[in-house]
Amino acid sequence: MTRHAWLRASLLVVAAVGILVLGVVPPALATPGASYGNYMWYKPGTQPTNGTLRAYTGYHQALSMTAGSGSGVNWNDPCVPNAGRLPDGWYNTYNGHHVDHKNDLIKGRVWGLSDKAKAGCQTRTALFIHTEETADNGQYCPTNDDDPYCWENANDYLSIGCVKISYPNNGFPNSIGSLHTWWHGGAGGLNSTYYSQILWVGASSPPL
Amino acid sequence: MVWGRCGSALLVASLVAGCGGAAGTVSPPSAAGAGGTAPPSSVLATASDSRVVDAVISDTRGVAPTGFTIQDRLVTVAGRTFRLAYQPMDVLAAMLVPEAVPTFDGKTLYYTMWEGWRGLDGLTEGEVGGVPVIRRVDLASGVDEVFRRGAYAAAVAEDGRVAYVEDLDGAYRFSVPNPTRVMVTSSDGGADEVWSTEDDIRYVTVGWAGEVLVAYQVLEGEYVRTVAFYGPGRSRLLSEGGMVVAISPDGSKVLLIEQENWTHFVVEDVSDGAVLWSGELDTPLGPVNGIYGCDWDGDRIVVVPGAGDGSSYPYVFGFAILRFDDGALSLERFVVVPGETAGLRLISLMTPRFTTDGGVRLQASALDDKGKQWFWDMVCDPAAAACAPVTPRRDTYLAVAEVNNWSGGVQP
Repeated sequence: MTRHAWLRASLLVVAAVGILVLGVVPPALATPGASYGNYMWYKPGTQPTNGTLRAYTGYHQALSMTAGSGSGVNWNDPCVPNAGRLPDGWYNTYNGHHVDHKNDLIKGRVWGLSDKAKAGCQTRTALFIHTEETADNGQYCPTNDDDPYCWENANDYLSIGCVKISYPNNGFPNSIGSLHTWWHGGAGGLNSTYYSQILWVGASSPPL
Repeated sequence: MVWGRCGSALLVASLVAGCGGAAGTVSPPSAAGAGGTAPPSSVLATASDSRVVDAVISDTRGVAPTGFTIQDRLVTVAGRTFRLAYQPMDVLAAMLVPEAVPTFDGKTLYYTMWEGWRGLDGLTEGEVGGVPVIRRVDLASGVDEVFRRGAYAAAVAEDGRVAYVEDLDGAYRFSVPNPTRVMVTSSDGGADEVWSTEDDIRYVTVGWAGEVLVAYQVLEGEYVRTVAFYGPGRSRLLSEGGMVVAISPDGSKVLLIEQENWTHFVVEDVSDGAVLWSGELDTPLGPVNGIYGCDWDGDRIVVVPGAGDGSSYPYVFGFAILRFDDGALSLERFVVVPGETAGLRLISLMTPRFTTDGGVRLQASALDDKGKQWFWDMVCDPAAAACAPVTPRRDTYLAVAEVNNWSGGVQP
């Protein structure tokens, strides 16, 4: 037996004895998902720019922030791809959470979401929770127009097929930072990992 | 130019230069449970009743749409009705492109359906969720057969070539990238050619602009790039973030709308990507808003879903009749469709089509007071600013056949 294996075996014995003698059960590690009480709920607003994203730890609300879903046209119709808000229901992570996402369009801290289809409508694909930031979580604001990696104003909550939250620029709250901290903290989420039922979209609270 | 608003919130209001449009009433989408004025009796058929198609054709105002598919597998092409083997549906490209497309000679119809589709509930990442299939219908004999399996988004050229996209592993897989390649048949339906060169992009074929094939690259967050294919491996970016509102009937131009600024229209020359015109079109209610999947007939274009500057939502729903003439895009008329009618709150207008007599047919969707979503078609007379439903309320979108390029009236 190697020295490391001997140490590991000894620690396991000590832990087992401690549980047996003291009745102490080590706390379960937190993990994202509705069944663990660690999930998000996006409640659409009256406009595409004034929805609410809440985050829960152990079924208790930990965060609440303004979020957007839907674009400037047909925004409240989840059947309209590339324009309407996300359809109601549960979403899993797709390819997990990333800190430095930089594939082809959306960059920085993102949560990839599973595909979704309202019955009788087209499937919505390649969905994310994200903000407008660079791959290294900064801002790139080269023009006076709407730059894709710069949070300029409330119109940046508009989204063609995602849920968007604010970046701490121009007086907006650090929603992306708060959600990122919650994910790795209270929710116990890892990067690049699949989790089931991490986001609920709907006007009413999720069925738990 | 001074603009005036014509009509009240409960009327379909027509806005034209000098406020010359008349105002008329709009009927509710269905008599069943909707209250309000009942639509003409000729449209009071159930969705499963074949009389629906006849009702559409014999609409009391004489509106006769030239081509479209309808629920329960019934399709009307140039005034004739056929029953398809399957209901057209396209899980991945519906709304973006038509699910059913007739050929220019009116003899054949291509449509997409899905084998093994059970919805997405219960699927795990990477699991097969269904197989898209393009079917070909001989409208003379009624033979309805598989054209290509693992493929969707058929687009028919005037010379008979069919473009489509082929899923690279032959099936849709849940919540993973589903790249496709662009395929084009020869005019005799023989050997297919691969026109795209990438193997990690999901393409959707939009339509033919003469000899040029227009397609979308669908990227993260449903963001699209519009590209033009001139042959195998020969393509050009037409628009970064722009979507196709309509292709001109002669195939020389494409009208685009910016995906993140639905008020900014761009007309491009398809042959070289040159911008012929760009800008906004003002109404007294704010600039015209546009979306993909509209119709261009002659020099007129019909565009939905409304107008407004984005400072408040929902904006004003309606449709705009645009004109592209002498190198400039202009607004001919904007017709308001009430945002609330018969207890329903409108949430979208999509896929407007000119009808042969100058009317406009479009799909509407609305929520009732319990939050249930409803769909129906309406036909509007822009001159009279009057709309009437032509299908009962239903709970799915209908497949809409492309009529842009063949509405010249070829009779099969």
